[in-house]
Amino acid sequence: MVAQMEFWLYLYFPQLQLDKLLLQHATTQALDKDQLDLTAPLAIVGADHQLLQLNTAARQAGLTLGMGLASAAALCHQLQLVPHQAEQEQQQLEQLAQLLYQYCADIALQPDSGLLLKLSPMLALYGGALQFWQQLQQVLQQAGYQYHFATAQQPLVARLLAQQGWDQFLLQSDKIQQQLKALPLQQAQLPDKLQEQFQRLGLIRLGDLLHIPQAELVRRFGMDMLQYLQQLTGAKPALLQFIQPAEQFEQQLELLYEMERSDQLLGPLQHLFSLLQLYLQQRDQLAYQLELCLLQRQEQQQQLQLHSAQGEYQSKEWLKLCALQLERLKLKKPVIQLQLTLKRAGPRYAQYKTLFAGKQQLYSALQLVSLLQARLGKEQVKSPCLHNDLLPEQASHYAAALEPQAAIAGHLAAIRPAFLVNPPLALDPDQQQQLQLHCGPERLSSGWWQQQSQHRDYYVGQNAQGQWLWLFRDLQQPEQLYLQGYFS
Amino acid sequence: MNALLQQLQNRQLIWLANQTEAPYEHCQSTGFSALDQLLGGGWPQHTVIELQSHGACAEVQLIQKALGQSGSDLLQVWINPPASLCAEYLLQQKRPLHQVLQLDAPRSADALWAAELCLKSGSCMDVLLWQNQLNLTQLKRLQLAAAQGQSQLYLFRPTQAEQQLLPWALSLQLTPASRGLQIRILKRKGGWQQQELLLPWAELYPQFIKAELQHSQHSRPPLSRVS
Repeated sequence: MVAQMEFWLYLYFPQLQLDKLLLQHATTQALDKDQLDLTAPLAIVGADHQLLQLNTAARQAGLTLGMGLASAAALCHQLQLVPHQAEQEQQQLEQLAQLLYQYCADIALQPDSGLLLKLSPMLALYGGALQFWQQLQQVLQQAGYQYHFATAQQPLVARLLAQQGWDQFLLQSDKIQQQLKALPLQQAQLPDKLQEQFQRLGLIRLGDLLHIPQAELVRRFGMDMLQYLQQLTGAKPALLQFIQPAEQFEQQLELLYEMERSDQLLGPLQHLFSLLQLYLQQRDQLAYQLELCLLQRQEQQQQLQLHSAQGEYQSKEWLKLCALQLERLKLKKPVIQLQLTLKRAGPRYAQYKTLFAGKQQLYSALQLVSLLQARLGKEQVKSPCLHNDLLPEQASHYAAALEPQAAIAGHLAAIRPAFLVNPPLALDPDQQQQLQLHCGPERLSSGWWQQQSQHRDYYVGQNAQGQWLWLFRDLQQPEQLYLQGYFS
Repeated sequence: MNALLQQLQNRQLIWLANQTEAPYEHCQSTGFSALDQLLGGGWPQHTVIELQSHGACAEVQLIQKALGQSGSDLLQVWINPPASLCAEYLLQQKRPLHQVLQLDAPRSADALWAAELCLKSGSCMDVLLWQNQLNLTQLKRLQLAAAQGQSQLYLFRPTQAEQQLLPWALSLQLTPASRGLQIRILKRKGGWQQQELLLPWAELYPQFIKAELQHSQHSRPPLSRVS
């Protein structure tokens, strides 16, 4: 007997697919006519034409789980049928597990829509089983799926009791054993053949089976029986694979109906961004770049790159950036699916604000740049930068916004205008006649080590309108004046 | 005096004709003493200032000293400037280049949106905007944003033929003359508007125009120099 008793919680979700339909219906008021009416009888049908999940209206019509299609149709002729999607359920189960991972460290996915949580290590953290359970209940209630649960010292016992719908959170093993012994053998998840044999022997409840000495049972029913009994009594630990949080954030969202306007997308996007926020919070990270893919009818798709220079994790900030980009976007075809991928993330760090300027900052400089880039486009937001070149039009360039500039040694030339004309504009003779030169020349010779060497004499001039111009004359054609910049 | 009038005056809601000294709450010196005197202290702060000119006549030079005084750890944003910025010029003005942002917004609505966002963000000190048309609502929004973010907007517009009645805190018309820059106050909060000043070029461009040489140096056509 180990000093610390192990306890397991089994959560069983009997109708994931149906609940998902109900939830989606509640969040979006779709006006489509071909949509399912969820208040009328509706059933999820498996591949072998058996009813797997039923809504309340269908239950009231007298349908039961496991019923064949023919008898169901006979009982209720207007029954709506939805094919069972095992993959989708598996995805939902994984999402639930990720959601619960915030509260419990050891979670294992179980094959029949169940999650197995190891309770014992978490009790110390939460200061008691009840507090922990309240926390979990809150999360499950928010998720909105129907569930059954049970606790036990062995995973298999917890599972049997949960699937039976016991719904008790107890840490007293005698009560659990009592409940287990009363469990009918049909629900003990034994192979059909064994069940039939037990029935013929007159064994009805699991307790009857446990009274029989183990060796006798194994001799008669084989090694499978031994494994089953060992799992039931906890003599042999169950092989479980606990989930690990996903390494890569990539989420898809199927839209309930085709969306033709980009502003309609904000609702579903909010859901995706809240998942992203959860992902980032778990890792204490900030996202710098996201890719949003809008899958459209006829296998077309449009992609959006979302950037944040400062890095954000909050869903509302990303939604704001995304809304600005969507405003500019023209949808080619109605959107049927959204896909959000995290491209670049980094560790979160404290953000410092100006302490002495005494200004209240609504956005930091980096946040401001991200917002501007989202609406105007990445190329339209830039900072000037200086290259090490003698020619003015080569020396002044643009770099990405707020990028730190390497300082260039050397003294700055005395006279430079605020604005440059690039490329220089050749002035016609009339304009040249009206000019008055005030200052100059300043000779710039560049590129003598290259093929195209330039020798220019620069002047400050004023034209007839009184505008201050920066002009130069090329020594190879001295009669022609060029306009290089405006003093302003 | 009437008690009501007294009360209003105590709350500074009434402007008296003899109070032309300091009409603005916060002023920042323009760096030109004559202009400071004309404006009663300097540029009004945290608001929108209009500068009308037909360009390239020292309109940026006029505010450059005020720009240099504002905090260098905050951004300076140039929205839709008429030509590309000269990096060497900015460095001459002691402005670190990574604190300068240029925005190109072809649509006027985008430019105004960007100006408003920059003004109220609190991370910009000065915003320079080149914009032709502006209506009353847009101006009010910009003024509120500037007050909220404690920032300053300089709006550059071409000289308007017909004067609109917009409630600028300060609106100046700049006309180049032979001796200097003719500055005329078009609109000013709480002040007489018909006032003019001629600011000599030598004060605006000390680096290439010397006051004593101003008459002797120019006025030769350029082609005569070549031969």
